[in-house]
Amino acid sequence: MTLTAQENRRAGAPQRARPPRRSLRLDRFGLPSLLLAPLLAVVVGVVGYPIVRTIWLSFHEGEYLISGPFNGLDNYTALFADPYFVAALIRTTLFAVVCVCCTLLISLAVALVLDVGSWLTRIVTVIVLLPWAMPRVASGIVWKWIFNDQYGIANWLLVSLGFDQFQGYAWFNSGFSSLVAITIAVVWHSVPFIAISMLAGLRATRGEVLEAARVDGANFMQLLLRIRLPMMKPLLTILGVMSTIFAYQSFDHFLVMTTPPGGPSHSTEVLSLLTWLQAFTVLDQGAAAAMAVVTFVLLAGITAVYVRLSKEDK
Amino acid sequence: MQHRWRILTATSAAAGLLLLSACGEDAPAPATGGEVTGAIDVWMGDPIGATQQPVVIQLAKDYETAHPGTKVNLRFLGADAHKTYLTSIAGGTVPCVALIGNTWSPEFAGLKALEPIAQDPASMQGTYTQSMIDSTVLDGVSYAVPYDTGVRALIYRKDLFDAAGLAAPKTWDEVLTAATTVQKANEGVNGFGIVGGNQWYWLPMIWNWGGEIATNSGGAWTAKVNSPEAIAAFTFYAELLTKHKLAPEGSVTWQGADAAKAFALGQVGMMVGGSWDLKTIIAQNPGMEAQLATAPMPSGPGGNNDTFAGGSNLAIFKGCTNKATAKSFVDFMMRTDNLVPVTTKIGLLPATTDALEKERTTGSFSAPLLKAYAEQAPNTRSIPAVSTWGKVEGTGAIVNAMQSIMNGQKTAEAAMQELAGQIDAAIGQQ
Amino acid sequence: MTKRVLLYAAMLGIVVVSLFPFFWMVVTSLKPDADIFTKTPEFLPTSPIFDRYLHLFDGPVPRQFLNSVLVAGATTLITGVIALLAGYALARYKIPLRRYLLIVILSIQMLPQTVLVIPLFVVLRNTDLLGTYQGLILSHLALTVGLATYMLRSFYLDIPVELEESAMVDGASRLKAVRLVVFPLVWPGLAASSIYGFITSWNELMFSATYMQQSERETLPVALQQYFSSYYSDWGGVMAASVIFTIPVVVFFLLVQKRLMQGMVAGAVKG
Repeated sequence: MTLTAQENRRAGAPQRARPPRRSLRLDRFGLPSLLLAPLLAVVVGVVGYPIVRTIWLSFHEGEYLISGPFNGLDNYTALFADPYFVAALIRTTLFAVVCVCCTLLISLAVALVLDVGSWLTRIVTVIVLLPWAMPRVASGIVWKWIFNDQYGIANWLLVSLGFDQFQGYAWFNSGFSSLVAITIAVVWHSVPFIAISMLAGLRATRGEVLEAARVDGANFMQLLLRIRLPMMKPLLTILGVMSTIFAYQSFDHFLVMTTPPGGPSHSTEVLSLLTWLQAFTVLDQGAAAAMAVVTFVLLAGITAVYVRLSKEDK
Repeated sequence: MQHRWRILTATSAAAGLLLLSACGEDAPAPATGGEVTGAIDVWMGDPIGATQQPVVIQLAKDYETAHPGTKVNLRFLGADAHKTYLTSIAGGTVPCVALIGNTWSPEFAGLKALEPIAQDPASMQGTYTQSMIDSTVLDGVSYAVPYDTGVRALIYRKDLFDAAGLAAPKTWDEVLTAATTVQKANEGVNGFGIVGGNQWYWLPMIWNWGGEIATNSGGAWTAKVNSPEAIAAFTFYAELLTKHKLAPEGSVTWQGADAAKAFALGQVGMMVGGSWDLKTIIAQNPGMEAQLATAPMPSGPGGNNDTFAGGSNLAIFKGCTNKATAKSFVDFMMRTDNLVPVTTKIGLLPATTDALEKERTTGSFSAPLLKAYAEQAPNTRSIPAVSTWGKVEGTGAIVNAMQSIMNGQKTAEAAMQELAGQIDAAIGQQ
Repeated sequence: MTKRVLLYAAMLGIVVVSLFPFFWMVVTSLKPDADIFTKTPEFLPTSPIFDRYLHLFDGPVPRQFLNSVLVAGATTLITGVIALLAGYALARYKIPLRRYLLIVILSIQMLPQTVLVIPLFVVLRNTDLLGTYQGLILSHLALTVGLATYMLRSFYLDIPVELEESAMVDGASRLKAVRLVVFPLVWPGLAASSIYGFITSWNELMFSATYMQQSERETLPVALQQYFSSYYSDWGGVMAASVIFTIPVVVFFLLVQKRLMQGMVAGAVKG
């Protein structure tokens, strides 16, 4: 990536999309490079270099956050020999799958409701987007309180609905129920952005094709599945990638909602949290860097699959 | 004190409260020579909770007044203080003076982060409590000044015990019967405040059962938590929840503050708690004071009731650029008239012998409710004094072991076997 | 008719679920302890108390608030400038490898933060920027510039090139044409990327918790997390702190939400 950017700069001499009738010398040569320079500086300095450095670190010892000697693949073999890491890898992936499915389906439902349109749509749209603005730390805290075993409103609601087994139910005692609560909190947080983007996508599908099909007597579901969603495919791909990455990145919610972070007894450890704890609590940056690289490769792979899938059907 | 997750009190949001004093005016330039002037960063990372923060803030102001030209930037750390210290050591952004858990002292000293206080710890004898001096020593050098010390004891509801004709339990078996009786007789009251999320409330039971956490032979440490005694101790504690249901399910992840909160709400009949927990309960529900009683810890099959010698130390970091002011601030904090108001507010004993004597005879620990803590004080032990012990605490291995037993994820034998492996990996010979 | 009823019912449901956590946070922060710890929830505070807020404002919160405003504000500003310039170049010039550059910029957005957190720690330590505002702002730029540039580029693409060209015909230099004609039109895009940058920076926890270790420079997410880990059983106080932390970002969001929606719509439609 870094290379691409640098080549780009060196390549210099840009051609304009449509040559204007008048231009300055600065215009022809320096200006585009000048305009891109700050961006490229950030991309190279704060993103490109760190990626390279992380990969480098992952092949070195790194106790107490001090780079040690080269140790080949030791960090990686140690990782995959560690049952807790493997468990966290699988757990994160399952969590992400559930999160992404819930997020996309709920977002679509929300977008469809808003797409119908009414005098309320405008204000409801703003309200829908509001949870996105709420700091994740704060929302994690609020959801933890909602799922409190003794005084939480979730248990009260469930018991009122007749599910008596939720009387004093301790959501954060086991990995599974903790993850259910965290999933709800994370989905609540990630739906807004996706839903509003989908709404924009749905609006863009309105037009002659849709009208013609409607005149031909296609019903709501047929319109949606046969015409509108296929038209939105590129957008849906991007949203799919985005929500996958949201889910894999979930960190704040896990840090705030589980006690100890990743507990009880390792049952809510996910990649981001584990990597961070490995680096800054265990202070083993080599192992942590290896975890980060694994996450990175995994996400790159998933993104590639999404892109491939969306292209194949075209 | 010395745990990742231990939290002191939680009363009103009087908390926070810290740095307004530190805001506003610009910090004076750091001193160059050995002069007492300039700014120092002070982190209160151990048991400074909501109620004692104002006292510390006032002390910092008093210090600034007494030493014109100085500036004390206070920061109060939360439950992950241990992690925060480690990150700051690794990043070279350490404070000048810090209050650290006594079990962290050898670890930070091992990381070469602390300024030596005394080359010969024997010179500190008589000035400080001996068990606390021991906690500051690594390889024969003392790296911190003992600040406060505390132990846990039994806190129970005298009214409920009297009504059921029960006396204070003297053994863990009696704890079980008493808790069961109290729970049966009182609707909505849990027999025992289980604190699954904090090892210091039950790790010492290994000693009570006659076991050891780890033993040292010839400088090499070996974990002993897979001994039958240790397994029996952990099983006993886990079964208070799993078999006897003496606390709400959620207590698997409870911290001391959760148990204290439930106690203050009248939902717990008895708990193991430090004098700071007692203060928290009374602060949250002043009306309950008359119904409370305390007793020394119960003993186990091993014939002792030893508990953990907790406490914290004041340390000066090597990375401090203003050591003269740092030293003078530590001296200031250690003066009996400055030390006692803080420790009293926390509910801990001061670690200097002078102040301790004062507290025992005429101070807050002469009160009947706190007598049990003074009685318990001689029966204490320390955790293995090894610089890598922090890894055991930092990874939460002990808490994870207990929680996996409570959740039925692992048998006690399997969990303790794994824990022994983790402790060996952390503190055993590399 | 039933269809309308269903629609409004669905909207009501969406609104309730979206707003409830906000509502519950505020209500809990105003209830006395006796009303918080009840088996049956009290939905409205019968006698609201404001002590918790007064206590918080008496403490370090104002300072942390300023720190957060400073970091988020600077991040937003710098992101805006970078994106404004780069977005134009990417929209108007046929730069070699432009396609790849765009992919790189978008994939920055896809990076796991854990890939950056360790090496940035090392870099900031080596440059003495650990625990400084500059260091944290730099790390936040990594999270914001990619999408902001992409967003702005799509706004530039919406502005007909002819506008610039005709201005240049009238004798203006390209720079002048851009300044006078294009920037005013691209302003909604700038607003959209600004709110995005502000929210990202204001809410960011992992970098902040790792890099900001100085007493005086703590930002709100770190402070709130520390506060929660110490006083988590004091739910009223924790909720009050959360409210203080949430208000600015919500207000900022409401102020510019119209622009943000435009930005997102533009982004979504172009894919």
